[in-house]
Order: sequence, then structure tokens, then C-alpha cells
Amino acid sequence: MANDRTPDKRRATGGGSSRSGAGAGRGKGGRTRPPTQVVTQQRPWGLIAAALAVVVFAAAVIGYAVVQVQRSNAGKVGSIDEIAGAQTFDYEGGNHDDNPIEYPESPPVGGSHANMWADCTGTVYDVDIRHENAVHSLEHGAVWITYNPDEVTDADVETLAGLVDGESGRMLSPYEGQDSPISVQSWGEQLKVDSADDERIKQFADLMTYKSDDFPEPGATCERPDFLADPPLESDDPAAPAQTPAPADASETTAP
Amino acid sequence: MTSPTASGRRPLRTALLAVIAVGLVLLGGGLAVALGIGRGAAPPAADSVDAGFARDMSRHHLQGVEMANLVAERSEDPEVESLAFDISATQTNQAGRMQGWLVLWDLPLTGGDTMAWMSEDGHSGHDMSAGMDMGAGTLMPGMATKEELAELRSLSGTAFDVEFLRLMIRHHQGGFDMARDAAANAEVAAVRDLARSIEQAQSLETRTMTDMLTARGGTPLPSP
Repeated sequence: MANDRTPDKRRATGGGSSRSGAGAGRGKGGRTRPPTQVVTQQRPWGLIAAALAVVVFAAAVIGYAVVQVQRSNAGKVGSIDEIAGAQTFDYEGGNHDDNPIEYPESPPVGGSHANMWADCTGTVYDVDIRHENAVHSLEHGAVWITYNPDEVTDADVETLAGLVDGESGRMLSPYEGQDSPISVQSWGEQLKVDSADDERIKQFADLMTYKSDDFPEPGATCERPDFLADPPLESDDPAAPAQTPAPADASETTAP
Repeated sequence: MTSPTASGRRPLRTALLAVIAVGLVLLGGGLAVALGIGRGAAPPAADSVDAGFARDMSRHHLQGVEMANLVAERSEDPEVESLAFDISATQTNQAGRMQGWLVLWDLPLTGGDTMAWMSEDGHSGHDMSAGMDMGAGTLMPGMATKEELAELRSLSGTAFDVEFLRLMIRHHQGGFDMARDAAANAEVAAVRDLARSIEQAQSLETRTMTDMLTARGGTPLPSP
């Protein structure tokens, strides 16, 4: 009965092929027939190699593409919404008024303003420049960094100056009585922080300086040498200034 | 004798061929991303609103700059000088911006039919009858003629201030229709945005200049 057994054995070891049909057929009526020659199944090695190669290449290229895209997006702040704590206000530009103006925000971020803009060619002021002139600079796309002189150290001022000095479209000035150590403004945007080392200061400045669709007068200049020569001071204004209309709406981004 | 391997090999072959096919597709996709293919739309054509606005408005602006640059030497009025400085710097920058786009789009900065890109209703109010040669270099609405510029250069003091304001008000009014048309119809968002800010800023500036003109005893020219 050895002959009977071999077909079963062969069936068990056959490589991936379905031979039960043939085996069963043989089993039933083919007891006396000799088992057919069994050829060890050939693996399609060429095809397997090709498939492996394609998979490896595809994985490598996709991996490279993903890393490339991630690297180009790393650390990039694309919109003001990505900076936690930034507040947005809706102001229309263009209203010039040389009288003293009372602003809803302190420091102000938009609204009516003086005819003369403050020089913002990377200017570091050591006096509290008149706020109505600074707002006009915001209208020209400037980023204005302010600090409370009683709440920051000289080293802090140095750090902030490093972000501003010589960088067209930026200015730095002390702001008496400011309710936070440091504040950063652009037209309709404001961020208040406690530390000069807060990375959001640079993120805000890099994003918003001359940011095209976010201020009323793209292309306007930050040069104003007559302001630089003799800057009007906030303390020049008498008390009881005129009211400026409040912004249309205000919104704040929450921490991510 | 049945062939023992034919039916047996087929599922494996099929599976491997499928893996290769899918793998090639993924490879192609990965390469496309890595090479940045398909990112970014095709640039506007020479006869598009975007290109037409960039050409015509930059030329219009540069005449505005030319007039504003006369002020420093001929005016003694700080308010007029400040206004002119603002107009000169802003419009120079914006003209540069628009010319930069034309360069990137691989289009000439000049040439083309003036204002041919504007939509039907954009032309309303101006006599665009046949026979009017609107080739390159044609004066657009609001632009000063050579004679008017020569006259402006010959003046100084308050007389200059008044004439400057009259010409500049009319210049702004002339550019307004172009800006409004492009703000509505340009394909590229950056073009629409600039056109819109020109539309808004210049109409406010026109109001300011009209007040200044009145304060100096002048009256505006007829609008273009």
C-alpha cells in the first residue's frame, strides 16, 4: 500500500498548487495508475525581484518627498492664526487727523492717524514717540514693537533692538504705562508678551512686516527723515484727546 | 496529464504584477511631489486682465510719480510736499511690483493695446469709438498731456500747488476704473488684492486732495 500513500504525501508537499482535484481524482479511481511526475514548482523569481525592486524604490522616493515637504514647512508660520495670543482688529485705513486721538487699544493698532508717519526704516527710538504718528506707520506696513521701560531690563531692550535695527519696515520704542512688558503691533494685529526672548515676537515680526494684504497701503514708504530728525513725543499732547471710532470687530486666537 | 504548475502559479504572478503596478504608481506620485510638478498654475497670457492691468497701471503710475517728483523743487508747502513724497514712493514701489510680475510671467513690460483688457462695462463713460488708436503709449484717462506737464513745470509756489493738485486728482480718478475692473476680474489673487488697495487708497487720497485744493482756492478739473 506504499503506492497508495505517496499521492497523499505529494499532495502535502506540493508548492502552492492546488492538486487536491487531481489527487482526489486519482484517489478515487486511479489506485493502479502510477503517480504522475511531480515537478517542483518554479517560483517566478524574476517577477518577485522586480516587485521587490519597485517597492523599495517607491518607498525611498516617497520617503524623500515627505521629508522634503516637512523640512520646507518646518517652523514656518503661515498665518497670524498660528501665533497664540495674537489679537485681530478690523480697521479701515486712510483717515488722517492731526489732532490728538484716543484709541481703544493701548498701544493702538489702527484707525485715524496723523498725516506724518513715524520713520520705520529699522528705527530704534529711545523716546515714547507720538502714538498717532506710529499708527500711520502701521498703515504703511510697519511692525511696531513697544516696551514698558519700567518692566524690562537693558538686556531686554538690546534683544528687541536686535530684531529691529536696520530692518526696513520695523521700529521699536518705549511706551509709558503699557500694561504688559512687551507688545508687538502691525495694522489691525497685536501680540502682548512678557519676555523679550519669547519666540513669538520674531515670528510675528517676520510674518507681518510689509505683509501685502494685511495693511491698507502696500508699496508705501517707511522713510520719513523729518520725523527722525525731531520726533514728536506722546508727552507733547495735552490731555483730553478726541475719540476714535472703535474697531468693527475684535477677535483673539487661542493657544493651539 | 494536467500541467501541475500553471493554475498554481497564476495567483502568485497576479499578486506580484499587482504589487509592481501599484508600486510604479506610487513611485511616480512620489517623484512628482519631490520635483514639485503640478504645484502652481500657469501664468496669465499677454491679453489677460492681469497682464493688461500690470502694463497699463504701471505706466499710469509712473506718470503720477513724474508729477509728484516735481513738487520738492517747486513747492514751499509742507503738506503738499508730504503728499507728493507719499505718492511718489508708493506708486514707484507698486509699479515695480507690477513690472516684476510681468517679468516672472515672461511677458513684455510695454506694448499691447491700451485698456483692451478691460471688460465692456469698464469702458463706460469713456468714448472708446472705433478709429481711436489705442496702441501702446496712448494716454489713458486722467493722464496729463505733454503740454499740461510743460505748464506744470513752469510754475512754482502756490500756483504750482494748485495745478499739481488739479492734475493729480484727475489722474487718480482716471486710474480708478482700471483698478476697479482688475479688482473684480483678474485671475491672480495678488493682482486683485493690489488693484483693490489702489482703488481704496486712491479714492481716499482724492478726497484729501480735493479738500487741500479748495483750501488753496482752486477748483477740480472736469473728471476724465
